[in-house]
Amino acid sequence: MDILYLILPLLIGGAASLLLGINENGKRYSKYAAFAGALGSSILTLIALAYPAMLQYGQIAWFTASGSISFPLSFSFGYINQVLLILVGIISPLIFLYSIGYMDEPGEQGRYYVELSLFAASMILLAVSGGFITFFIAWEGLGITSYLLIGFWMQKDAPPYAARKAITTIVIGDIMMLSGILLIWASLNTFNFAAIISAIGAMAAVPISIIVALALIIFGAFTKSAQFPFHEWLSDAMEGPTPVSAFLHSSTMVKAGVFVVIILLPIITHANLLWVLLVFGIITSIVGAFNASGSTHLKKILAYSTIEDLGLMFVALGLNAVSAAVAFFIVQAIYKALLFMNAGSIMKANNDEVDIYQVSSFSRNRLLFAVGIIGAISLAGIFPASGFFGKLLIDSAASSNATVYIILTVLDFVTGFYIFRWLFIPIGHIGKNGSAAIRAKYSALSKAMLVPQVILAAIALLLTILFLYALTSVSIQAAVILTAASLFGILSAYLLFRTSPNNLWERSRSREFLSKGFFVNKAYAYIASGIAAIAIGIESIDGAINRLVYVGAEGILRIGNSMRRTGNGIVNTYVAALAIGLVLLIAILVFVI
Amino acid sequence: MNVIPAMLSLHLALPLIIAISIIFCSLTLLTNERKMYNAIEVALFGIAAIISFIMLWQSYSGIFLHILQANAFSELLFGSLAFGAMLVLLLTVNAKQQKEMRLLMSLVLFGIFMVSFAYSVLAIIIGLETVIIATVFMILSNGKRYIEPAMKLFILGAISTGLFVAALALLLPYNPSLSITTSLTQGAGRFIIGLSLVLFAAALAVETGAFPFNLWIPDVYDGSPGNITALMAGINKKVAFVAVLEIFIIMFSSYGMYGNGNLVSTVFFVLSIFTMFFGNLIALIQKNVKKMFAYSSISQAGYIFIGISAATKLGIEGSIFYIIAHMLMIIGAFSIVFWLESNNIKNIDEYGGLKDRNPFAAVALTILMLSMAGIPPLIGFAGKFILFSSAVYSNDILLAVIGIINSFISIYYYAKVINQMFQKRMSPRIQMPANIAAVVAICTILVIIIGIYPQILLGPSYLAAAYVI
Repeated sequence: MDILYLILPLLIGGAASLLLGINENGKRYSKYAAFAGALGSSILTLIALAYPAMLQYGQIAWFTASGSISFPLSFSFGYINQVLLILVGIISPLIFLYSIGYMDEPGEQGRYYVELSLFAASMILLAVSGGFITFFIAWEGLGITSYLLIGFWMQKDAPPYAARKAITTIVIGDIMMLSGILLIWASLNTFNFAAIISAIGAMAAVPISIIVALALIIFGAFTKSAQFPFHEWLSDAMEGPTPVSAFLHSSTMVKAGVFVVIILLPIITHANLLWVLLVFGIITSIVGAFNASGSTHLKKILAYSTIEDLGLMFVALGLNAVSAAVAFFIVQAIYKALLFMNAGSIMKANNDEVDIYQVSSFSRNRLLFAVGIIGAISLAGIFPASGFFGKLLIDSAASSNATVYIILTVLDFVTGFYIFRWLFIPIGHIGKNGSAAIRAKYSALSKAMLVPQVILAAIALLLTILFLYALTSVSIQAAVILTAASLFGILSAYLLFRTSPNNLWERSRSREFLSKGFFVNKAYAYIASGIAAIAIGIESIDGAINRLVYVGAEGILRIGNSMRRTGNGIVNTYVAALAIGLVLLIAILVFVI
Repeated sequence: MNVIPAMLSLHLALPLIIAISIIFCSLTLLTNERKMYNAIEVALFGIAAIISFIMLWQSYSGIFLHILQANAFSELLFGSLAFGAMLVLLLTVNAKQQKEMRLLMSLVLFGIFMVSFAYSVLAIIIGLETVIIATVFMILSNGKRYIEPAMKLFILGAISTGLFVAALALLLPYNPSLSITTSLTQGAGRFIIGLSLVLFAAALAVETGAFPFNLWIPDVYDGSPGNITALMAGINKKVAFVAVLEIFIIMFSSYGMYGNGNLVSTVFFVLSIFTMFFGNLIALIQKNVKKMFAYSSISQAGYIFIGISAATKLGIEGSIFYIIAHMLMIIGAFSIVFWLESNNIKNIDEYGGLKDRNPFAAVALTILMLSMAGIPPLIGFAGKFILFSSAVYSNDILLAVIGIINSFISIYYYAKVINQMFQKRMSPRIQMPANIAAVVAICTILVIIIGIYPQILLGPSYLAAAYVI
């Protein structure tokens, strides 16, 4: 089986759902076609994981330029590829299933499912990439589909704005990534990850050009993985449909940056760039955690929490603790997808209300509440949930570095605090629609939305068994400190939000400050208006040249009157520009010869 | 009896076909119009392209008719441009003045032939002139309204020719044969040759649309009817690029002016940077789709200059690849613009809901624009990837990075149109005429196929580049 067959069912399913979506009668079946495609891909993925021997991969010659310079598509199936494949294989069909219940406007389904299928296909392609060309193709696919899906509801005001912000960040990342890739290629003449790693590993001293290239790739990775200062697009991305948030913006796409850093970690270590990962990871996780405590948006709290989690992964990588990062990589994807699906169910029952003070509790639906709690304790890092082990491994890795360890412990506390704030606040409310209407909506929630959550909750718990089986030794001290910090956070949340009706936190100035996102958005606005000013300045180049004509060229060049009359007198602008250009070219001539 | 096999030998078959096509079109001017005439003319264009590709396949080469020569470069580019011209001709078959259009298009084909098969600089100038004059008359044939863009094109074309002839005059004493492959006689002053080079550069920069010689382009493109805009952006500009490759790389490299860091490279390095930024940044703020594509086609010319500036076989190969790739993309895009223009849809916000009005057009335009922005796996990605690699390969990191930045800036304005097209709006469906749909479909399919298997175009481009440099 060729490794590219893994994405074939998704492509077929996407195409089928697009075609069905155009058809008036076929619209209803669009979602099932896409689900079948996703299921097909993940079954093939599981088969491939079970029998790796029957898989064919390696290099496909894509094209050869200049006779000998080849641009191959490389694939690989190492452990990190398998980890990402497992995650996509598990989560993708569940998301498609959830979407069947969530996306109930029949008119737009063809577009939605084809974009989602293309996204999942790009994700699988990314997971099996073994070289920069394959990687970059998948990377671009992720960027474009993410842009389209964030702006899916284009009729509303906010989504197009959010999509524009996302694509700005994505484009900045793409520029850095492609420049880095080409720089590495220029000095090593290969795009293959394994070849690059062994070539750089063999160097005694890493040359400056490769250090620059690696830095560019790391910052490119930061844009997709929402690291400070590129993190704000992720919270705005919550304007997209919730299944998209659960799939792209928490569990899979944002991992693309972490993924490439994990692959290149040996040479990043060799080039002494680990500190970049550590510093930016710490800043990001602090910013994410505190923003999450300030926000009152049902999904944005989770989005900031995702930013924090991604920061923690980079902290682990910065400490060169790959296994801790990978473990967290897995458990985080599961619980975050679960929490987003949960938030989507709440929104669905509350008519798309997103303010945690306006939505009504989901304790009315016991099942939803139960899976929500499993997700929350997993995020907080409490024992029976698998999130505990992810956090524990990162904390243990940091135990040699006192500063980092203290910061992580504080973050553990904050995490427990904000996620239980997220859980507790809606419980006390009746909601806008009155209790009976909401109760009816909760019980009318589609099974297609509940089943994936139950499956993910089960996985979140079952992974614990796997960890108990696989881990040989854990630091008891770290486990105790982690549990104590998280429980303390939960306790604070309980005291503030369950017992006192009029709590201090929500009215405090510090929450107000935190909810503003540390003014990162304001900084973006300044940069953007600066760029806009440049663009407008260049636009007026026509006017500037026009002026030049009247001041100088008319007299000097003696462009005839008859010519000036043609074309409303604009032609002489063109001719004057041409003359200026010619003068510049002659200047180059004098300069070069 | 020996005459007939000689006539049928391949290199003479091409001028024969072109002559037949011109005579045929002249004769049909006198008769009543029939649908069949268009079909015959399109077929003649197709046959010309096919003959050229057969010559390429049989690696046919040699000098003929004193000022022409056949080789992989000329065969590949003539074949591709004749194919593009056939697509443009297909666009115009329903026009009111199709008789005249047909004749003028066969003159354009003649121009393409002269430029791509040029052995002497004379052939290049004859070809370029023919193409421009034919285009001017095409614009004029649409009515009085179009006098203005036609005059602008005519004047700029005349200036370009003037500069070209001046450059030639400087060169003539040292290269009396005017052939593009012979080296100079003794005593050539380096500065005089350099001056000639600069004048050539200015003359061709007007036609390829390099900044600051390109201010006329958006104006004329926007003012002309859409099918002729497709011709100007898809064919005329590419013919000028063929002339650029012949003059600057074949001719000036035998004068020792070409190579990394040499005069030609430096000139195109500067032109490339300014052209890319100029086209892209102004395209960002356009509200009219046709103008947006005009500016975008300017910036795309900047990418082609990257390969020329790189001065390696890889760079030239990338340039040739991208000339053909951009021809396909821009003809497809302007065909859709042309069709929508005839339905009075011009601005970006009027493109809203195109998905519901004509899903085929919306999907095709999306694919073409994503390709222009360089999204894999479409033809634009492969082309740009080779061009940027070639810049990196000859240590022009700055040029590569500027190219990458520009290529991503362009995503903004394309995304703006894509977003609009896929919005939901209640509006009636509009039908696309079969001939335009055929052109759009051919361009889109080729953009996808060559994007996935770039080797089918890259192989011939390599052969062509091997001849040029």
